[in-house]
Amino acid sequence: MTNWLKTLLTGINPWLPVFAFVTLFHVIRESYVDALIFAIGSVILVVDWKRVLPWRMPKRLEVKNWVLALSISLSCLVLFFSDRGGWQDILLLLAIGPAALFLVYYRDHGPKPSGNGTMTRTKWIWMTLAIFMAVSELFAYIWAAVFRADETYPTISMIVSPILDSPYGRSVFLLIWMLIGLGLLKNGKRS
Amino acid sequence: MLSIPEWEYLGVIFLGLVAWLIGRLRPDILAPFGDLVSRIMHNRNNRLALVIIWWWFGWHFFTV
Repeated sequence: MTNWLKTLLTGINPWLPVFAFVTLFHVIRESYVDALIFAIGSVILVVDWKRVLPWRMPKRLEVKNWVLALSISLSCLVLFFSDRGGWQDILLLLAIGPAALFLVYYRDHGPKPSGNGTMTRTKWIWMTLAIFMAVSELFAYIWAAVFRADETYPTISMIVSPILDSPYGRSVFLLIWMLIGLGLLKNGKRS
Repeated sequence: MLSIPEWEYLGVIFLGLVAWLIGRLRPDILAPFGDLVSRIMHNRNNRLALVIIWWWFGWHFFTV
């Protein structure tokens, strides 16, 4: 690799090529809002990588548990009771995104939790499952586009969408989504 | 009758549950899922990317 390229790519966020690919994928499938989201995501990763912003967050922001619980409860109420895709959902999600990014933007601190053979094995198993899901989804999209048959090989969205229209399905998905978000925001505390 | 992807997704969910359970019961074989997430979330690179992906899931399923 030539020196200038090496210098250019030093410290690149390994997620950036993934985000660029997903952006392109959504452009090809003409899902422009999703493409825009991943394009903005890519810009955020580049801005962080190249340290474009002079702003730094040296310490993790401590959010009181009651504030977190209240925010989650209110968000759940809005997402559950409002019309799916209504302005309330859109407004709320537009507020949650920057807030969540702000909460995880703090500088890395402390030693990285130790890795061993077990951790490496665990990482590979979960990565394999995630990649399998992603490839399966990609294949489902290609199948639907080529054969014009969505029903024989449906994408995750096609399977999940009708479930989300029912209150039970929506509450389960909401719970899972919120728990994952909470896990992402609260995790790292042990490190 | 379930379609092929439905079987695939259910299979992944099942295997994920098995991996999670092994992590809880036999941490010498597989690390607990929480430890893996802690390790991943130590780096800001991962934190930013995963939060964006998580948020997109919410957007995709609640607004479409």
